[in-house]
Amino acid sequence: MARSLKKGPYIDTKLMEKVEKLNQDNQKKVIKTWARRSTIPPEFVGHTIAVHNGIKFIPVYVTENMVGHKLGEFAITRTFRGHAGKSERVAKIQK
Amino acid sequence: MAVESDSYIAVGKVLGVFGHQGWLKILVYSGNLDRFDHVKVIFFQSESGMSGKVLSQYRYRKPGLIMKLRGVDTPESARLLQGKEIFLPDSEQLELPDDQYYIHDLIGLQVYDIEAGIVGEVVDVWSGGASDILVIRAGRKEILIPAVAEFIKEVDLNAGKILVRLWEEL
Repeated sequence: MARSLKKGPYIDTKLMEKVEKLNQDNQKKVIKTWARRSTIPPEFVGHTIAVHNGIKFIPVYVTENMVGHKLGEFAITRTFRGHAGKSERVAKIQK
Repeated sequence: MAVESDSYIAVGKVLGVFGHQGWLKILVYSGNLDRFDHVKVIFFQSESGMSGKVLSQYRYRKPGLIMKLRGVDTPESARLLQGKEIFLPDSEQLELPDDQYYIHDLIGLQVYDIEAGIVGEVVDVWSGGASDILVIRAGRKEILIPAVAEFIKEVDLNAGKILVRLWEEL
């Protein structure tokens, strides 16, 4: 069931405070968090948040099209072991 | 037809059998479903090396393709290929846009920070999630760097190095 609109999105308050402090100081720093359930507000855009996946912190660079999604969606918890040798799998450097 | 496997690249995998005429369900690694437009022969690895099969037809079908090979006309003969990887010769490797790199080319590259110098070596690349992630082995430590222009400043495959800007606490 969807969350009530009256409440607004759930955003982890400690994480929000840290991001707001970085925005005020105009700093870029990786913030570690376990708050996978936190919604991404527009203030997070351009920051890198290391989201815990149960084993390690996965760095997530927040872009505009992630706003409104949960942090946990971008730090996968299952590792896919692909082809070990030479394959046509591609890595893309996002702009 | 059996040849050495060194000069071949894996382009996909047979996921299963489709229908009663020996069609195969294929996962295409590059995600580019037009990959087989000009391909006439595909290769499978066998005990004696690479053996080729003529690609007679293919069609789009989610999540990838279905394919018909000459000489594979029954579900039983198709099932023998299930789980096997499909290879093509290196000469048929696709050219990539400037911002894309084959993962096997990235693995083993030395990583340098713009300010601090050498960081380590790329040992793996994870896909899925927000962006691809480079796994860098720096001594005993493992550093994860998102494949984003904010961090990755330059990739020089000829020189075998990647120039990055590391943020604090990465």
